[in-house]
Order: sequence, then C-alpha cells, then structure tokens
Amino acid sequence: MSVSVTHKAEMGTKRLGDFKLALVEVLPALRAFARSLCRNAVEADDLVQETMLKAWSARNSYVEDSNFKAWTFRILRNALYSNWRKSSRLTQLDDTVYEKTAKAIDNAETSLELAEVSEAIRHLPLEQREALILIAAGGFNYEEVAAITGVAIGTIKSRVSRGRSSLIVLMEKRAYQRTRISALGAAQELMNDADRLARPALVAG
Amino acid sequence: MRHQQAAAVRRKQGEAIGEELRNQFQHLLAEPLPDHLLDLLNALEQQESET
Repeated sequence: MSVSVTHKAEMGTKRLGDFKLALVEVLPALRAFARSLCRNAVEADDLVQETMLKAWSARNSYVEDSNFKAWTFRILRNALYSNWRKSSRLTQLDDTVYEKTAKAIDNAETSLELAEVSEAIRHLPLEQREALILIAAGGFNYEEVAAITGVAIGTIKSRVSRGRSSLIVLMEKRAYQRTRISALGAAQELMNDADRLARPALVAG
Repeated sequence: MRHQQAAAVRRKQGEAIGEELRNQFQHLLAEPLPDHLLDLLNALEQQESET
C-alpha cells in the first residue's frame, strides 16, 4: 500500500516537473505571440502570466502526447479575447477604420521595413493578425491554427490570405506616401532655388 | 501577361512580409524571459509539492 502511495507520489512529482519544464520551453514562444498581439510589453507579460496560471490549474485536462504548444497558445488566445471583451477594447476593422488606419500608417515616422510591417500588422483585425503570426512566424500549420482558434481550416486560410493582402496594401500606401513626400520636398527645394535666383534680378530691376 | 506580372509582384511582397514577420517573431523569441515568470512557475511547483 505504502509502496503504491510512494510510487504514485513519485509519478505525480515527475509529471509536475515535466509539466513545468514543458511550460518553461514554450514560454518564449508564448511571450512572443503575446507581444505580437498586445499593445505593449506589460500587457503581454500580464497575459503570459495569466496563461501560465490557467495552464497550471488546467494541467489535468491536458491530453498527454497531444500538441502542448498549441494547447497553451489556445489558453493564451482565449484569455486575451476574454480580457478584451471584458474591457470592450476589441475593435473590428471595417472600411472606415481601414481608411483611418492607412492614414495613421502613412503618418508614422518609421523608416525600417521591419518597423513598418510591425506597425502595419497592428492595424489588422485581430483574427487576421493572429492567423498570420501563427502561420508565418509561429511555426504552426493550418490544422494546428484551426485547433487553436476553434475555426475551420478554410477560415484560417482565408484570414491569412486577406491579412497578407491588407498588409501589402498598407505597405504600398506607406511607400507611395514616402515617395510623394520626397517628391514634394524636391519640388519645394526647386521652388526655393528659383526664388533665390530670381531675387537678385528683381533687386537689380 | 500583365496580370501574371502583378501576381508575381504580389507573391514576392507576400513572401517579404512573411520573412519580416518571422524575423520579428525570432527577435521576440530571443528576448530574455522576465524573472517574475520563472519565479511564478517555481512558486506554483513548490506550492503543489507541499500540498
């Protein structure tokens, strides 16, 4: 009897240690995902902490040998949506918002392409953003992302496609604006030069 | 022909965006983990083993 109890306790401790190690392993990816979705690092770290607590509490519901990373990502995503719903901060990108977004991105003073992509992706609807990040960067396949988000594979493919197209449009608008600003600057310089050249003639006249 | 060229450009742009997103994610992955997250895990484990 006591042997059985001891064995059980040992198994429990081992499982606990394994679970902790597994969580430690996925922490960087969870944090990167949270940072990609949240507006700042503090909000992201709070979300990761909440995810860890929820995962720990729900560890008995984790099906062994199933995709642990996907399981934790689903917990994080559900926590994020739940928090945003509570605080009514979740906004969908409709046409009007899209126009405002494009203008906001046009006005952003970032020069690096990385910063531009990073900035632009923040203005996509959350569903498209998470699908793009999970597929393009997170190393998940469509099936896994469908499981994480609880929607059909076709929906994920559509979100990735629309998200990518929106990003391209936003980036093109940004590039166009940059060229326009540069052209306007050059035109202004020409006008200034012409003005400078004309002045002595006027004075002389 | 023009349609094919436009599609090729879009595909390249899509690939470039994917590459940037991967770079961005890798950059975030490389960041050191805050101590309080690891401390929390240790505390949870300790609490569990004590009960």
